[in-house]
Amino acid sequence: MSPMALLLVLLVLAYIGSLWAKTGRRRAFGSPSGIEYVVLGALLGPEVLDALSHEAMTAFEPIALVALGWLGLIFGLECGMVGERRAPLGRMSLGLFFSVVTAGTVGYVCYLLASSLHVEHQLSIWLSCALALVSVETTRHALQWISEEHMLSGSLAGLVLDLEAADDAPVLVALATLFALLSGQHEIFGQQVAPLSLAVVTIGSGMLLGGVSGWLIAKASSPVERWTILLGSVWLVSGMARSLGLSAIAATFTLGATLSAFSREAGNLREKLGHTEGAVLLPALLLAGAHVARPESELEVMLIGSALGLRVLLSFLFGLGLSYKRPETRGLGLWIGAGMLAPGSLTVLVGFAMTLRCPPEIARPALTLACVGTLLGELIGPRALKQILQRFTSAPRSPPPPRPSLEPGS
Amino acid sequence: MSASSGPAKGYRVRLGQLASLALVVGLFVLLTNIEPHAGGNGVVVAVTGFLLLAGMLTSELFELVKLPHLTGYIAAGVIAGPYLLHFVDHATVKRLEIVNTLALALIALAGGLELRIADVRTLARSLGLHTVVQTLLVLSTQAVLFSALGSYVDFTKNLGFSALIGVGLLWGVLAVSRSPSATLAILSQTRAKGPLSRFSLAFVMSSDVVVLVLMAATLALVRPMIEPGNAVSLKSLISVGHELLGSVSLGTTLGLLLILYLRLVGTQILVLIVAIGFALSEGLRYLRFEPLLTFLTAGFVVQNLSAQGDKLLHIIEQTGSVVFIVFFATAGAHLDIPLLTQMWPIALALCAGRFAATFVAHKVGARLAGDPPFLARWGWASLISQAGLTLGLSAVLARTFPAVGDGLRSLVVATVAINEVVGPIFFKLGLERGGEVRGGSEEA
Repeated sequence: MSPMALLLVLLVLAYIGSLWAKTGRRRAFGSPSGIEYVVLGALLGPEVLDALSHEAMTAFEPIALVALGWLGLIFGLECGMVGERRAPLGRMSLGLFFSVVTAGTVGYVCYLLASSLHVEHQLSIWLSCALALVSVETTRHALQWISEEHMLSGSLAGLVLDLEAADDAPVLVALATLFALLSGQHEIFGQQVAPLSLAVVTIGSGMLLGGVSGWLIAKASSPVERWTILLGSVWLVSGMARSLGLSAIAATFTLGATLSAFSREAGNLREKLGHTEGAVLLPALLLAGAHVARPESELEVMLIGSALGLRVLLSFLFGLGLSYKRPETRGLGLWIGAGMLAPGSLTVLVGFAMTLRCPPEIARPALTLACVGTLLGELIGPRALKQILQRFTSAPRSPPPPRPSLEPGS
Repeated sequence: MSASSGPAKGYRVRLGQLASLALVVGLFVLLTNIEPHAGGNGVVVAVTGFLLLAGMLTSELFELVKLPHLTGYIAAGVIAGPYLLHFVDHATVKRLEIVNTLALALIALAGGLELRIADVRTLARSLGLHTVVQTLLVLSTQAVLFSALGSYVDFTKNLGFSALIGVGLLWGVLAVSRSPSATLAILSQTRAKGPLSRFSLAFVMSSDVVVLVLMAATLALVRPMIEPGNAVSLKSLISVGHELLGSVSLGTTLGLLLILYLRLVGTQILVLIVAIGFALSEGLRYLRFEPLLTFLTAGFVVQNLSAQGDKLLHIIEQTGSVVFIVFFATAGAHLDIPLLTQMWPIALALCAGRFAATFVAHKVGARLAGDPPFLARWGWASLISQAGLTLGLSAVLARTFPAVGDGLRSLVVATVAINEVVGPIFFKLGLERGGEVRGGSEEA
């Protein structure tokens, strides 16, 4: 497939994605994570039909970078938010705790496994970090999707949404750190800096441009000016990060989170940018799918299997723990755990970002795990969520509103 | 097209914008001073973002001295370009040309949408007379001036008389070309409405077609003069005929399809326009049709055969702005400053000659057409800008006449640099004097 044909395919997907905005229902279109577009990309990619050649995909790297940057901004703006309210700190912390425990456990077990199989020490560390990062996120979009599709909501929905409200943050901060460490020693104005300082550059540049763009947006006098500021900031910060080997999606995530925290226009921005998400996400997922490659060794299969198994196990344990703490959810622990299995598009995008940056022996298993995990979560998570929401929803809501309320207790 | 508008911004906001610009520049300085950096795609994306932010902020600050936004975009590009701050190198500028494809499609589509058949009918006589007078006077005086200066120009001083006249005629045709993109950019920023806006738009858009035909005819005529042994060939005229007819046919079809889409679906127009802009431009290149004319025709058809024109125009104005900033900033980065410093006496003389010829031709045309007094006084102001079309034609000449083409192209680049900066300033001034400026882009 020529680059022009690929561009048209991506534009068709962007068109389909933009229909999300038309329906006013951000997630009730296709599957919650958009995994079908990843599968489509994988089918078209070099591993199966070879319709998307490596050359075509390389030619589209700038578009992939721009898409990742834009989605990072949207994730950042939505971080810690449930609709238009901020998630309670306690619940968010619990969600973060779950993420950190999952990442730590998956990473440590993968490291032990890789070391025991005589994988080079440094590679074992990178590999285990990469696999841990794509095992963490639980999408709130699955819940949103169920809510929109089946008109269900309730206090439990609110709880789950709060838990998942900020779990993107540790993933992306860790990704910024991983990429910075992978970048090695750099010199800034002739002075040597430690690799970890580059993680500060990633996050700092995002925060700085977040602050500047927030101020400029507040003073802007037209929507065109606001879009120009946003696009310019996202492209500048993501391009900078990419050219230094740092994480573009993490940098723009920070930009979005800064805007979300300090800009009075944040709500408006979330609303406007939400309409663009589908149009950017679907092409990005297709490109991500096209990069999926078969594992090249038994080790990779074992690592992917182990990480996946651990993720499932930890989700169930967390679900059981949660149901134990909340009397009204007793007996539903396994369902809650299963409901929290659904990773979202961010996981696939993090895997995709790794393929654009990391050596293949790290990126290949990470992206495969991200996609397989998302597919598995897609099969289990939404069904489980539907089950538990049905028990907790007294009556189905009447006709689907443009944006369903997911407030706790509603 | 611009990012301006609304109430005037106070000095605190301007100071804040200046500080933001300094910060954005500082970030880019930081980027260029971290080693090693991989460059490649990341730099292209970063440069695009930088040009957007720096172009927008510079244009906002230029408002203080009443300069058009377009000048701010170009200035940002020049400053960031390969000859001053070196943020943007030649390779990156080259890679950003994909933005130009989309920008030109949007510019032409918007241009066609601005042309209402009722306006064109009202202006038909005036347009016809101005076109004839401008073409004859500017072409002939520029050809004579160039031939007279020929002995001071490196690449022509050793040419024989007939070859010099031949190159002079080509120069004359280039001098007749104008900049639709600059005209549209200024009109879009100022949201100007009135006789000068209508005249400028219709004249500049239609002069594109005139220049294409004129160039083909002149090429056929001067080939034996520049390259003795070649006979007069009508091949290029036939090829231009195909190009024009094909472009108009395809543009009409595209316009009708757009009307259908707008009527039956009417949403997601932005994605559709981007798809058409890229894909059709690629197809047109393959077919050797003229993209500008194709999109112009499409816009004209939508505006005049349906009620959807203003809706489409509004969307293009809103979304095209971002593309236009990058387009003009890239054009600024393209400006060859060393070449300009080297050729400035000749370039300045030629620009002054073109300016004078355009001014006089307009006065003559206005008298013959009986234009209203204001149009007669300021109508020339939109005819000074030159940009992409002129550069594109000079590239064709460079390919066609390798012996003189490269030198000619360099001189074109130098004169376009001057006209590209000066032209929009005069046009905006004219619109302001005529009271046609309505302020910036409105809130959506």
